[in-house]
Amino acid sequence: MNTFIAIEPDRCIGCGTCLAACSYGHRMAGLQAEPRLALTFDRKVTAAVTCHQCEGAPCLAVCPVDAIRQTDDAVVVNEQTCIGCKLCAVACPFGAIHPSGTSIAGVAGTSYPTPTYPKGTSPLLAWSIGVYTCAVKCDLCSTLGPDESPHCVPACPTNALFVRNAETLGKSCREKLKAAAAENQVMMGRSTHLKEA
Amino acid sequence: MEKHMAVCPYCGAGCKLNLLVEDGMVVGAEGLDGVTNEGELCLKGLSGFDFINDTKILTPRIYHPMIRREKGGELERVTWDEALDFTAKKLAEIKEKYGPDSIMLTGSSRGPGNEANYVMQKFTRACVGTNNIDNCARTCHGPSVIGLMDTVGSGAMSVSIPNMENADLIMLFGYNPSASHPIVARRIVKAKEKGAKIIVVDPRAIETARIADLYIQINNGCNLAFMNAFANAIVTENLHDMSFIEAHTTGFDEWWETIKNYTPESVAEICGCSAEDIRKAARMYATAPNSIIGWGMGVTQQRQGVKVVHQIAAIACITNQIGRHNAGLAPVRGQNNVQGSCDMGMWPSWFPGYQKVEDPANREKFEKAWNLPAGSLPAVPGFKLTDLPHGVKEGKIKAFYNFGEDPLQTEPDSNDMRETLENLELLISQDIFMTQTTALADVVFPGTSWGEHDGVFSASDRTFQRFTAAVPPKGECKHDWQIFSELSTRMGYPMHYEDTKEIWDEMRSLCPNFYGATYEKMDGVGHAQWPIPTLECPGTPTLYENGQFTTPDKKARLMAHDYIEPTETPDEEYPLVLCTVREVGHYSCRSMTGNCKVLAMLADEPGYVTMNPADAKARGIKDEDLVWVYSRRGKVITRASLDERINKGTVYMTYQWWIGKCNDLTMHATDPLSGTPEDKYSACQVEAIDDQLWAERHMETLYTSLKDRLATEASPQDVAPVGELVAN
Repeated sequence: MNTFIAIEPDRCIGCGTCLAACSYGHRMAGLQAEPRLALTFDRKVTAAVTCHQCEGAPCLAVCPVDAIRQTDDAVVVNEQTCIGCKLCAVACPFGAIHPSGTSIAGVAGTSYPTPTYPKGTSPLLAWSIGVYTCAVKCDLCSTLGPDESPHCVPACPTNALFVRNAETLGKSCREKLKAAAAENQVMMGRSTHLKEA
Repeated sequence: MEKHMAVCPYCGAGCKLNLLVEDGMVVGAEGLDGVTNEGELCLKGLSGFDFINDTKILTPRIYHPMIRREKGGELERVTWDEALDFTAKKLAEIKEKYGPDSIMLTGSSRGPGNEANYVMQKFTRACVGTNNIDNCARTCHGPSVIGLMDTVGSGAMSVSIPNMENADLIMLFGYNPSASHPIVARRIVKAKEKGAKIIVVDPRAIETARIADLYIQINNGCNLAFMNAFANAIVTENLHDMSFIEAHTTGFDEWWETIKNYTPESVAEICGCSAEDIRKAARMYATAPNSIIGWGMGVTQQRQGVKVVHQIAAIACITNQIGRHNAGLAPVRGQNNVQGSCDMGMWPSWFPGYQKVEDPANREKFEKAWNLPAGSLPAVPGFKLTDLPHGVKEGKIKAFYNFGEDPLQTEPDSNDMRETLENLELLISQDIFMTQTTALADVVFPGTSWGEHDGVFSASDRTFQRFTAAVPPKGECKHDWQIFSELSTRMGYPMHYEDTKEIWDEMRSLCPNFYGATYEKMDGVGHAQWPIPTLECPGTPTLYENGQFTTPDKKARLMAHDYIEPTETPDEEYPLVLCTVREVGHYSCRSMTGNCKVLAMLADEPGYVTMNPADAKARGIKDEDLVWVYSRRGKVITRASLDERINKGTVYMTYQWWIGKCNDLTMHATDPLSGTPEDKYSACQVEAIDDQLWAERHMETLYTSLKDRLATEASPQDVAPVGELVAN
């Protein structure tokens, strides 16, 4: 089973520390600095949402150039191969993969509104190099190095993020099953509803 | 890789961290197990380090001293000797011509640390001969400092940050810890998980409102009405502690004379909530075994800031929710060392350690310690920071020494502030960056950043913690305390210190409440929480234990006041309320965090005006559209963010943006008791822009030209003075 990152929304305070840790780690590895998690807010919920590393990943299935592949650790985009076609973003049921690159804000006929990089003030950087637009998604930090684990999880100041894998998921399933069984036992013992019925 | 211990400079939580250094460059940060942060950091602590390397993303750092020989002339790089001589001569001339009280100084509540501030106030009082020194507490928690001093005796948090998680109830009133202090918000989340009840009273459904047991969405600007009714409900339901009131407070009967008129029903409409909710909150707060009430700028940056603080403190006293580890008052400070600036006497009426300048015994003590003739220290309290605009207009203030602050970004009505700064005879700016304020200065002194010097910060809960230099000073940058000492020496009052420890030891020998806070105690991740009067004292996490208040008669003074509405209420032309708030990923004027790669990437200009979807729809505004926001003071372009957590009729802008600059719109009206601006309430209008393509280009142009202007203004520093070239 693929590992993925889950969140406890009641602990999330929407501060974005996970985004910062994600961005820093990937930028230092020469990858897109765009965070792989996204904070979503509504009246009731705040949560950092990211890729579920689906077993039958739709993003992988629709990629026309095979830029997305399943490794031992995660579903990973090869930023060099990606052509920025955005099909994966359309197919993803969680909004967890999206195109990112240099803003083209202000270019006639386009409507991508948000500047995504700061322009430098240094004379040497006056001509800022554009960043190629390609898909970014959570790779569980597996592409940053052989011993890397997700940077966002330890960074979260309220411990709202968890790594979920076969082991942890299995464990929690077993606990839930036990709890359910125990509850059932109590009901049977009291023999209130079932026997009467 | 080297690791250097520091304290995060991006809020009052006081998080200990290591700066990671490779080949003289700061390349990372990691949390240390400090008393408040327990190894955790938020995004600013984690990613707020690379400005030290001069990334030039937003504005360049200043590496060399510069002066303008003529008012309005070009900046010119000069040697330190020339810059200091020039400044000393100018200041002496102004002092001679207009008197010492024509010179105003502001301390820095940010990176410099307590030692630099101590030396600055000593320079102000002993050398310049005025009490015209203040700090940015004036614009933030000034009302908390003043209001709490009045009522309970000390202008600080009565509980400590770590103890907040053990409260039985936490009530937040006008305070959004998730954006202001994520590491404090963490304690509230933990408190909730441990079973604490949470009450949030705020016009915005802030993050904590989601986990609150009771959330009351109030109208903006109703604070005193709400708190008076809250107090009324406590007394009418007999939930107050009469034996505590009789033993430890004064003025209850007089207080009740005012409060009895404020039934919850009578203010429900002003507050925009039900009377029952007020009663319910009052019941929960008063009956919990240990309640903490936290507040922030939502209380202080209002017309009646001090009066609301009086009332909050009175409520804690009448219910006996004060003086225990898990019960008390929590005004959590915004800037990392604003508590420290107040501690160090960057205040027109206090010497360091909250010792009043009016008291002859205090003046005598400081005169003796500072080798001054008897009677030479000024006895009259000086100007407040917010007196600057009218002080200059009336010709009372001629020179302003700006230390590590950017009033053009952070003070209300920036157009008026610009005029003020331009009309000074002398503006000195000591900073690490070419900020908008520094760009107007006649003298630019390059200081060192928090990554380049040693010192002590005071966290919001009175905790002193040391930080150390990670890298040496860049260019010709000098430590702030060195600059003050050298300037003072040139002006006829010699000062010399070898290091920050020497300054600190002088300071604590003069401040009884800080005496036990030695550098040794604060080694590594150690800390010292004041009051700490002796070397043996371990520090005091909780104030007012057993009802022992620090007022002269050891009793809390209950005071009640009548509610009045905000100064500028909405009308037909400006139908929306503008409230300024804080960005989670940027700090203060943004000169530091805006130059950090990760933080600049996560949030950049022009920022957002957040508004209720209904208000946006009525104006034809879609999410992420660029819009105009205008008020009687100005007009700015910014981006709309539609947010159903926002109350209708009010819009919110964070004060970190230089283009989408809310302080072009805010109003210079202040709470008369504290001089704190009413940043939380003014009237404005938001307007859609039809041509979004034009708007995007316009915004980019404004941003680029501002950055270009600041870079150009800083560029003379790259040209070495002629004398220096010859010498090389």
